[in-house]
Amino acid sequence: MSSPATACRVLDVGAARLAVISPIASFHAQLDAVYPYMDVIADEGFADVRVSLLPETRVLPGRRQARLWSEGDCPFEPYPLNAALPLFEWGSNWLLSQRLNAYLLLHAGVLARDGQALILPAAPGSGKTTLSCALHLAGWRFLSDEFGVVDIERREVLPMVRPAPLKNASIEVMRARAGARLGPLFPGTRKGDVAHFIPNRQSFQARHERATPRLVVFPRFTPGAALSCVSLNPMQAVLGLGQNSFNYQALGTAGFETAIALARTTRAYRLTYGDLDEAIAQIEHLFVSTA
Amino acid sequence: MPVLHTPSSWLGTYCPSLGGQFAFLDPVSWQTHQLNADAYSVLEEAAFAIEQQQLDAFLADVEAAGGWPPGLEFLVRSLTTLGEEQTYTT
Repeated sequence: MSSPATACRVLDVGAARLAVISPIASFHAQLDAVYPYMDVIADEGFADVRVSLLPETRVLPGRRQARLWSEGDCPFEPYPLNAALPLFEWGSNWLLSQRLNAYLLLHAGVLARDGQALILPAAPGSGKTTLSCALHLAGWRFLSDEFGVVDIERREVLPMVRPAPLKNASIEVMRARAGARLGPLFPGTRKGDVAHFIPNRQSFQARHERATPRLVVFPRFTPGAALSCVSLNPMQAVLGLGQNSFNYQALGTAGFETAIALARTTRAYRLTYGDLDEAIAQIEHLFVSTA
Repeated sequence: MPVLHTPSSWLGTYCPSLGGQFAFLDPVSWQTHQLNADAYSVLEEAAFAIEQQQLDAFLADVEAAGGWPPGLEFLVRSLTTLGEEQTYTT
């Protein structure tokens, strides 16, 4: 067996498989830390995304860097060598968003209870990742903090169970919550301080168990804001889903039909909140009331 | 088997009613537009005119009635592509 530093590691995260090769030992240690429940898979060929994380060949004093390569291209600026994990997570997520066009890909957190899915579509900076993690700690199964992967034929949501990148103040907010498990802290990345929230073992193990969409909530965290929950009509839901999708237009009629079906079979709300626990309680109430 | 769409069949398939509004999928840009019932009626009339090869007369009627409601002319132009070129979906 080859050593981890030279082996191609394959991560099966549910809706996709990621293959990564890297000689950077610290990266493999970081990967082990944030994927503690992931089976080791020998490279069996297929992966949706295949990347290499390699040290920069031109080394500047005190600035060793890592580059992410994909199919002979470097689509991103390099990161410090000791912060290769955030580069891998963000870079491979971006590559997935460009490639998984067999599904309607929503920019959304997804959680589930009893096989029924809560979808949280939102623009970057809306607090979607923090809310997804907090709901998970409150007992919901974690499917994703980033991708709502919707099967365009069966209209079910597929998990994409990956560690969730918490940023800046969200790190301590989540660290203070009972049961939270975070990976190493990466201070001062281009997106600020970053630490990855690790979903629990059950969510990793259930990464091939689909869920049926039941509730769509468009969240918006605003510091100090009073809780506001507004019911959306199906048209508003369709437009919101399209706006918060990676590939809605690219899918053409398939994306349209899937969004229409989601809007007709779920209830949708816009939720503005300043208190995380109030938001969780409101979502619990909405989920129960839409049964 | 691919489906050949006319402007009317496109409207029937990709402009469903949702709670009193209509969601129109633009067959050129693939963007979705929200229409009220009046706007939907204009698109229906335009679709019929395109299929009857009477679009010029329809456009003249629109002009005589004071011009296009905001945003609709663009959508009618998209529907004309279904009359000129065969558009397939699977």
